[in-house]
Amino acid sequence: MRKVWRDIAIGAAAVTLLLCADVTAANAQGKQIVYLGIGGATQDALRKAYFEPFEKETGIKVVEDTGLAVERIQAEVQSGHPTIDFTNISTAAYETMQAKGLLAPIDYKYYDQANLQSMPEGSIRGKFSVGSSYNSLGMSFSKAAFPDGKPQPTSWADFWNVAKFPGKRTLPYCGVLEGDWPLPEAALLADGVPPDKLYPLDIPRAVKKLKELSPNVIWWKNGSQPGQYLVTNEAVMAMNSIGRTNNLIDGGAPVQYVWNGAEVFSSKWIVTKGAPNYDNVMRFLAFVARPDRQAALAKAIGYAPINPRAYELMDKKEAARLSTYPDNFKQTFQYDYHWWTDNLSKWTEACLAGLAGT
Amino acid sequence: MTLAHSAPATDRRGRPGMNGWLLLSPAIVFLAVFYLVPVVRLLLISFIDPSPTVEHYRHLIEVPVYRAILLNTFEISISVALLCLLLAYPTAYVLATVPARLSRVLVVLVTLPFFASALVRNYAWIFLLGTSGVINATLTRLGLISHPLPLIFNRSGVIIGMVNILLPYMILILLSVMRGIRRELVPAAQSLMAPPFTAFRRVFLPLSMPGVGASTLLVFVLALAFFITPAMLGGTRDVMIANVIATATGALNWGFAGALATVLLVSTLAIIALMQRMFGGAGFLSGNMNPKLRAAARRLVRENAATRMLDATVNPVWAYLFPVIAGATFFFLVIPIVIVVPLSFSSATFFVFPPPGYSLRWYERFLTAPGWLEATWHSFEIAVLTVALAVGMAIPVSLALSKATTRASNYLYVALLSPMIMPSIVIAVSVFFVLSQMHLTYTVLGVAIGHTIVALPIAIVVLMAAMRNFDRNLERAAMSLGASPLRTTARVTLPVLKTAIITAALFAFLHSFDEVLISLFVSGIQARTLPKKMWESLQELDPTIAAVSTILVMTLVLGALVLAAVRRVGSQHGRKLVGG
Repeated sequence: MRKVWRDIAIGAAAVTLLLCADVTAANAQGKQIVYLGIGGATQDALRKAYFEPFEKETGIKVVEDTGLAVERIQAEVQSGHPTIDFTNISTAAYETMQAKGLLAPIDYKYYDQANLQSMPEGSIRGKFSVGSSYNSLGMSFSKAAFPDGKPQPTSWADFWNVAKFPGKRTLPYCGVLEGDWPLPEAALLADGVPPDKLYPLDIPRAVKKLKELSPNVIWWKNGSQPGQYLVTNEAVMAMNSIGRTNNLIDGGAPVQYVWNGAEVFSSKWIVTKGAPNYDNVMRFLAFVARPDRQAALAKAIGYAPINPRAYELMDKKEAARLSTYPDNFKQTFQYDYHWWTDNLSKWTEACLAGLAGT
Repeated sequence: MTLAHSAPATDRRGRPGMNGWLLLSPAIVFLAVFYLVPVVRLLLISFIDPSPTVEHYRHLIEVPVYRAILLNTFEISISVALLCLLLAYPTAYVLATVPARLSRVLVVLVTLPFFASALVRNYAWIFLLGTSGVINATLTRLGLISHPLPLIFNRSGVIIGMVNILLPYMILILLSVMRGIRRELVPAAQSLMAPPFTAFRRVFLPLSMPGVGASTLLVFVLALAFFITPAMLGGTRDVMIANVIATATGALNWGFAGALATVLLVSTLAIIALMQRMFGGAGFLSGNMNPKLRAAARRLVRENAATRMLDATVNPVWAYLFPVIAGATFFFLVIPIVIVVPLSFSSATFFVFPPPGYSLRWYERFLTAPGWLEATWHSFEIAVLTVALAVGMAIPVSLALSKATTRASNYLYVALLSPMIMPSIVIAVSVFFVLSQMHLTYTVLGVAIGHTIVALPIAIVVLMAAMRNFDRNLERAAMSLGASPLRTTARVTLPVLKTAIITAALFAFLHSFDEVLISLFVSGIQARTLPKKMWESLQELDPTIAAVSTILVMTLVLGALVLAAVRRVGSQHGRKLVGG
């Protein structure tokens, strides 16, 4: 027994020493900005296209943390000493944070005038946010199930057509997830509503259309699932993001994205109110608005640039897979954030009630 | 502890006395500061957001979908707890009765799944149970089915996944209780001409009841807070309340999130209270044999038509019954890991089974990509610290509460368990504020404190279950022979409870090692943990997590083998000494 106590004492001493060592390491801070991301392929691409070149040019290191951006930044701002400087989020998350007063204004004086002018005011250049890239959420299908030369699905109507395109589909489940997934929009487009007449959304009609397809749907609840189900043949069609779809394609999976009826939206850079490294974050945001950086990100993961001049630095093949490429963009629709901010919980409840037990 | 034993911890009526409160105070103060006050403050937002209101609760009651989700949550948790019991009891029994060396190997087998991330195991189930998964493909090839069975993306998928994750908890608690039962009792009964099952039923089963109550409660309560597994493996009827809470917090709707969490907490406590009413006293939970439970146990023991029929049915197959169930359980526990290992060597950038080709790239990534190794080290540090805090506070709590028998102490016990029911996002955000005021966010200690909030009640459940069976006469005997109270605790009480303490420590370690949400808030960059790194894979798939899981599982297996070898050499050496 005595030996055990001795071991415990030694263990406790060791842990105490380690703790002290950690605290010292944390106190040693250099020239840096702190980014909160969600990791994975997106963050890998940001690192390659933005973070590393920025450090190389300016000597300012981008320190990467991960977590639930909205909740974490709220907790940090309310606690009085934030550590996270900035992140990029969906427009819906931006609206939420802006409403709670958690954001610092963007200072455009750091931007190069030529870059600034090619970024549209309002949607991209906002007071408390600036566009980071265009993303797209839409339909993708497995080319193993529907190979070239055979009929392939080209619309949400085809997505709903189980007779012509047999197999399971995978869709995001109601509102039990973050993001701006166009679930009722897809149902209404499939039901024949023209893209410019989508909003205000007819909730009962959308729920009815989803119920109709539900027996053939695997409902996914986190963003890694739809791609997973496509490549493992659990499903033949999915609602997925263009970034993840490109990621699968780059990894060699037989998957194709359908631009017709896809949603296009801009992700936003936001800066924490009271961000400890505010000025350097502004330098970073001005840096990534440059056409060369925007083109680098587009090449890395296929997110479309908010600075259209980046297209001049890409070849046709690279450009053709981006959501703002004219041939793609004209088939897509714009997501109405104002409708969603007002109706999110109404939709979620109607959807959960309608789909439970289907 | 000196004080505790120089005077009894409870007075004659079984209330915690002065010394009892001293033993309880570290845990009570800890939970009051880091859990109770901040969580209550957060939950109160549900009444004052934006102005004094009951609107959030009215909404919750009026929209039928939330009632359905609450019902789902309880249905799923109860089924999981009962199914776990059905598999865990025979398995623990086999573990408690096989020779020590084999038992050690099997215990390692039970703990293996803990080290393969739950997230990766969820994916493994998709490969096993999916329409084109291993099971359906095999059955189709054998011509047994023409259409794939719907094994996943429905209730059965959720229950299979959750039972797989929670089974080890139940097996190990039951084992720690069964190890405390004097095994020679069963052969003794058999020598009195009782057939083996009858002997088990009349002697062993009643003595193991404390473990059954405690472990079923633990699994039920842990199941209530699940959200990743039901999200990944469930269908449209399998949304659990934690899923909805996550959505509400994502919209910073703390009023509604707080209302949901409060309703979950209150209804769970109501269910526990109902159980108390039915079984008479919280002793059911803590495993104390209260009168009604004892009466129920006695009915099992007494001979009547029902038990005679039971005996007649079970006795002929008894020799095989538990070993067969245990064998199936081991298979069930290990099978997802069997899938995870090849995934980690996959050449694909996403999960495909079987892998299209093999490579070591994910191991290379683990060893070279920024953050992975550092996060692994942090996780170990934090887990060790969590064990020290949780077990250090849980031992005195269980010493004090196991002697107390009043209703108040039973309520206190239930209150100590409440952190397990609280959705982790609520704990995470509220503890963030406290730690932030103390400048402990983003430190290893801060994260460990956060993890201890839930690890402490888990450790208490394990220790209480074992303590109820502990024969206090041993302590009295030691003291009557002149041993000091501290010496009695150190030399008699704690050694007898060794298995339970090790089990509690293991659970505290594993809880910390697996915990995601608190780490997401509190660990920052300076103390980021392995699950936090793995959480990133929720957003974008990356087989690195399969590689990490494989490395951890292999480390455990190797460690166990080395330990077994050392023990063997040690025991041979010992025998030689004795023989010489």
